[in-house]
Amino acid sequence: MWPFHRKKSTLRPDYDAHRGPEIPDQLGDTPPPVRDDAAKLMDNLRTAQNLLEDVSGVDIALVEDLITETKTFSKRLEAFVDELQPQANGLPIPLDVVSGSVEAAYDRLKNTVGQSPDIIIRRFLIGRHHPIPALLTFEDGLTDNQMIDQDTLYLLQRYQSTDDLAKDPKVAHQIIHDSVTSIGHATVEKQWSKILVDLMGGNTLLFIDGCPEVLVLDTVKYPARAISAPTTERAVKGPQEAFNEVILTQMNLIRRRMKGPALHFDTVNVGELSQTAVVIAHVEGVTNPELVMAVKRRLATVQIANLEYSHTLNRALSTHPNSLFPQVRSSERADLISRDIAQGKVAILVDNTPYALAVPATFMDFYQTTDDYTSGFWEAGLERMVRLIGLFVGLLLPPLYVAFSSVDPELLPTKLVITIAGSRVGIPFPPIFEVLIMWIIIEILREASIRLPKGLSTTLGTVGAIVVGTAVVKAAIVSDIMIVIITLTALGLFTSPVYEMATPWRILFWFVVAASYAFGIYGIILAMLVILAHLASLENFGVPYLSPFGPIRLRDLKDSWLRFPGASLNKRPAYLRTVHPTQRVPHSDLPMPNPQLYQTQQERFDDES
Amino acid sequence: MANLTDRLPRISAVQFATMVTAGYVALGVFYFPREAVTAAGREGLWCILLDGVVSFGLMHLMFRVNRIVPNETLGSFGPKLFGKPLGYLIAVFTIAYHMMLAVSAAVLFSFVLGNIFLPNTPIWAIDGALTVVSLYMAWGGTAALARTLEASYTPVAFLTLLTGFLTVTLIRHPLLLLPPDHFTVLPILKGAFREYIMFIGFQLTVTLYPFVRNEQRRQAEHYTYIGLAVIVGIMLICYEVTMSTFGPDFLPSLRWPIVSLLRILALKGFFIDKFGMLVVALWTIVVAAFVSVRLWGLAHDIAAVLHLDGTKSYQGSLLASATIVVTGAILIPNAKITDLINENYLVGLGLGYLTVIPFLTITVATFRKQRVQELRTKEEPPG
Amino acid sequence: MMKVDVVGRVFVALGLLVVLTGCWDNRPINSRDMVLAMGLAPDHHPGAFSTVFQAPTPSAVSAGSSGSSSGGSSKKDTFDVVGSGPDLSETFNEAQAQVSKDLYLGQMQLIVLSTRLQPMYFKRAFDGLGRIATLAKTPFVIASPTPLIKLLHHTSPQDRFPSLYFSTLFSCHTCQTDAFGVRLWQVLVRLATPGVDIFLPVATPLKDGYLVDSVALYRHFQYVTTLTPRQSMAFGILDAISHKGSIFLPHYNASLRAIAGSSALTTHLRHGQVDATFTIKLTSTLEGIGSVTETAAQIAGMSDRASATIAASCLNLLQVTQKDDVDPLGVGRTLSWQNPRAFDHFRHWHQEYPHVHMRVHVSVTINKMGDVK
Repeated sequence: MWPFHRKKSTLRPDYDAHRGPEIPDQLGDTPPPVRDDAAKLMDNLRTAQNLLEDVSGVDIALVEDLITETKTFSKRLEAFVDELQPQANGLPIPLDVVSGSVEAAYDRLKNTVGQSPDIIIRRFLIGRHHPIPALLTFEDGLTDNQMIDQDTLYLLQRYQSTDDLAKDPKVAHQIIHDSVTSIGHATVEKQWSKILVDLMGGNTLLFIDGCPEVLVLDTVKYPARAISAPTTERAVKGPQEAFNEVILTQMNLIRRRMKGPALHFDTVNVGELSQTAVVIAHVEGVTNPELVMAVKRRLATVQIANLEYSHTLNRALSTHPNSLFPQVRSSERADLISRDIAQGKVAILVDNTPYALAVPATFMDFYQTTDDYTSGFWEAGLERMVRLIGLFVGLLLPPLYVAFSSVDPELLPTKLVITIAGSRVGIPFPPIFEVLIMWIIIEILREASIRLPKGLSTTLGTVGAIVVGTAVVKAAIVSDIMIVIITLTALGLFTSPVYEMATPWRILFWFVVAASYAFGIYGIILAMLVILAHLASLENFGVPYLSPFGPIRLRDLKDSWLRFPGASLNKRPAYLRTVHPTQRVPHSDLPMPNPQLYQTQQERFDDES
Repeated sequence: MANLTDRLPRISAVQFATMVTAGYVALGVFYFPREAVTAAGREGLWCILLDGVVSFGLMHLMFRVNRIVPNETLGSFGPKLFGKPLGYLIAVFTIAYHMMLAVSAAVLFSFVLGNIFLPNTPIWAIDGALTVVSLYMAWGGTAALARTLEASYTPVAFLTLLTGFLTVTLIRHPLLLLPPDHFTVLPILKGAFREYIMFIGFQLTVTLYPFVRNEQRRQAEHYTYIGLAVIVGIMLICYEVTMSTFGPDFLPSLRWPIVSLLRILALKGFFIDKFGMLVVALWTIVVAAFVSVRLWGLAHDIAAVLHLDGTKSYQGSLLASATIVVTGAILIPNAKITDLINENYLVGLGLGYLTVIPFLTITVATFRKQRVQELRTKEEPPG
Repeated sequence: MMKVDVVGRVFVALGLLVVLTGCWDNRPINSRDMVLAMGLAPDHHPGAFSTVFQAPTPSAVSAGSSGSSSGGSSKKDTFDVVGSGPDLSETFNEAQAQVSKDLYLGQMQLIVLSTRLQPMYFKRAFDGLGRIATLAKTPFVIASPTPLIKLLHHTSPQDRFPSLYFSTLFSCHTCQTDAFGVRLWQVLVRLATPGVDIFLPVATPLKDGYLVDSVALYRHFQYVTTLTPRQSMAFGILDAISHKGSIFLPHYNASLRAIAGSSALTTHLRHGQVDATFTIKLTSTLEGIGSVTETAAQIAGMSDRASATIAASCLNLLQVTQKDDVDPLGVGRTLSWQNPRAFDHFRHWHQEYPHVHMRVHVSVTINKMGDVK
């Protein structure tokens, strides 16, 4: 049962060197060179194994695992050591650099990444007459098979003039790059640490024997979701394109909207394991370079194993990460993000998350949406005002109900007081508990309808609201006015176009309710002051969160709760301190050289104004 | 404050004007215009105007004091300019005086609110809540406080203005809108003196001035003058409306005339009937601003006297000041005592401070030009 | 980190304080007895007066909220508690002892004053009302010669509660012939101002509702007289609160209605004699005329005749007030504003008022003629 018992008695160094964790050399031409360090390490390992076996009660499976791991490790080590053989000039090749030997590369690949089934390693020969050994490796599933088969392998195998390659193998990759393979994007790399990441990202690596450089062929083809309409930020008239999970598509969507060469995408990789591509998008000559630097510096501080969601970066990008309020605007709308970039913000795209981030974000940014800019200023102003009213209704209606119905009834008209008092006759709870009960019901309904399958959730929403609402009133647990109030509250808080902005209010709502319970209207005002003071104390990337209200910035007020006509928004937001503040030149009223055209222009202006 | 590594955020001209203005309206607005009318009858109008003119003059002098050593607060350059004993005396007096102002404003407003809205709530609770909120407003530092004030003053100003238009409907005797045609000097002076409680508090500039951005200082002074003019204008309107609603005989018997005026303002058909009372409740913001600005000034002055540096000590002094304010407020038993404190001490001491300090500083500065020069060149702005 | 800590602790402490100290002013509206009307009447006990506090019953309140105005008409909509005592707080305490909930005065709409209330108690009660901080000074004050309980229990089909009836009536200027509504603060102002006396509208119950067409005059706190409806109309014109006054001109067999306009009072002191001049400018609508068509001359004549008639009735009213020595129009007050030194000269305005030389200038303009030419 215990297979190593016997081994224990017959353990001999030379025996084990042959039979131990070694696999037979598949290439078989050369005997394994002398490997002092490796042998020593193996000895140590074996001793450890012996020791372990002495220990009674050791989990066998554990030890087996350990041995398997050790074997794998030793193989990897051998692959490295192979490559460490001195060069012609006597200097050893650094471990990270590709040696140029296809066999060594094969060994290394096979023993490292090649052990997982999705990595394909294909050895073949270039040309027919004087074939040169070569090796292709790619990640199955992330690559386009057609590109590999037809545009690479087929062409290479049928390549005629391999003599040229054999003449100077050091530039073989150049020739193949220039005249053989028909793949659009191909680069050259030398370092293993880089090519392995490339390989995992869906690139195909081409090793040519004798050539110390590897061709990295861009054969990436992700299984990607199609570009769909935004689901969390819908717009009536604006473009209907949302980001998908693929960062390239995200960049494409932005680039399509900004073709000017000033748009820059700077890539950093975040995550030790995930190596997630994070792209910092900004416009040179517009965006404040200090801002770009600050974003980069903050992203550099992120030490994380796996970056799965863009929102993980929020903490690093916020100066006050513990605040309730979101300080980074995230959006799946491509038009919104490119608008932000054009305004002078920095956008952060993260691979595998369809939500891009834009910094710095002010409070007002969370109440702006695409529709504000696709509609006239009347409509936009109205919508913004509705959002403001929605916020106030959502935040203040239940506290006001508590205040008016139990602390300060003298402020209401008598008839309304009688109505409220009448609806509360027979209800056993004070208003604050009415609020609590209804809030719990609403929150449960909300949470349940998000998690349930779509078909069920609509049913649950309507049935729950109607049935529970009427039943609760019938049962005289809450008053009917309360139903109206809590419904308006639930709706009001979600008038913010950004979902995450509703959450702080849903929490602060209780703070205001508690204050109104103790002090009535006075309490509500105090609570609002505290909230305001908190908002005013927030700053992100040096931009006051409450701008343009505190500090008051007249230029930015034109695009706040009211959106002035486009012609008056000639400047980029002041708080972004852009390099180039003008974003639009006002119409010129100067007469045109051609009087007729001038006439036309005048008419146009007359119509406009 | 001289710690150069500890960069403090600087404020803009508008923010400076808002803070200074917030620093003087709140205390007197509740008594307004009782004192003037009690002393001078219908001639109270001249008292208000006189107070406005005097404030303008004193403000001008204060700015001249500030400009002597623009990058340091009076608390920190005072001892160096006047010599230690006098300098510290002035600093300690400033601290004590601001403390009294804060206590008085907080407790006064608590009495008003407790009287109208919360008859069963203990005054310490109302006062404590107000002070805690003011403390929180000041906690974030100069810039955060300034931004809070900027953002909160707009809605209050808007609503007060709206209410001002509405109160016009209450005017019963347009005859009283006309200024009286005669002029009796002594009662007017007396009324002006008592009513000066309205403008007490802008000596805050001695502490706040160095925090304004260098290039915006002149502008800040101008905005502050504009703020004063606006306040005087609003007060004149308030005076006229209150006077022609209540008449000169009933007005002196009102404890808080403007509050009474707002309380009788009913808005038929709106869902808050007693709209004016809502505005009174909104004045919480004005009072909280007053107290928080005071606390801010106190913390900086205390830090200057004790040579403390850094955010922690700022917040520590804030906390200490707030505790004293709450304690002081608890010690005041009723609204009459507040009246007495305000009339007997705060007006006189405040006016004294506002006149003595500029004359003293400007005189000393003319004689010790070299010292001033040293101070000016040595000290860096606190930001 | 420290910031979060300290602020958090402060808030927790404050929250605990609030929670531990109880509810203070937090008392739901349905657990208060909302006093909507209050009546002040003499008491049969010597040295006391009685105060009636009227509040709606819970059933009336809930019926009111569900919108069915006819429901519960058989049941009582309001209940009264009566307290008596030498001052307001004692009457209040006695009333409070009779109910299970807090008597809440913040929604007071109406204060009814019995015309028989002794001046001493009137003064005491109003001194008290002036200081009750929770009571906004906006309820309407009316006088009534009928016993208060009878008046307050009288119901009108138009409004469930008498308080609401009167607050609706007085809040709407054009709903009355003359805007007689007087709010508490106006009474307080008049009581504090020398040279003016208070007047209060008088309400008497009718079969369906109330009759409000006359005013009661007070000298300080002393009830003096109730004017007749015609005198009250003249009073309304003099005080510029008339809205729907009308006058019949027998000579033309015509009537004018909607007489309304402004009234300006000026006072002068001539050789120790006070002259008071009311300059009244009225507009009116031609209501009916004997002939189908009217001529310009007729209109001018009617205007003149109406002016003269109104001036005469105004002057007559002023003489009545002088005879009774009450100054509800504030002649003395105007004098004190226009001529303070002269006013200070009179030690007691009430001795002087009967000797004031009154003049009334009335000009009536007919500015609306109706449809038929």
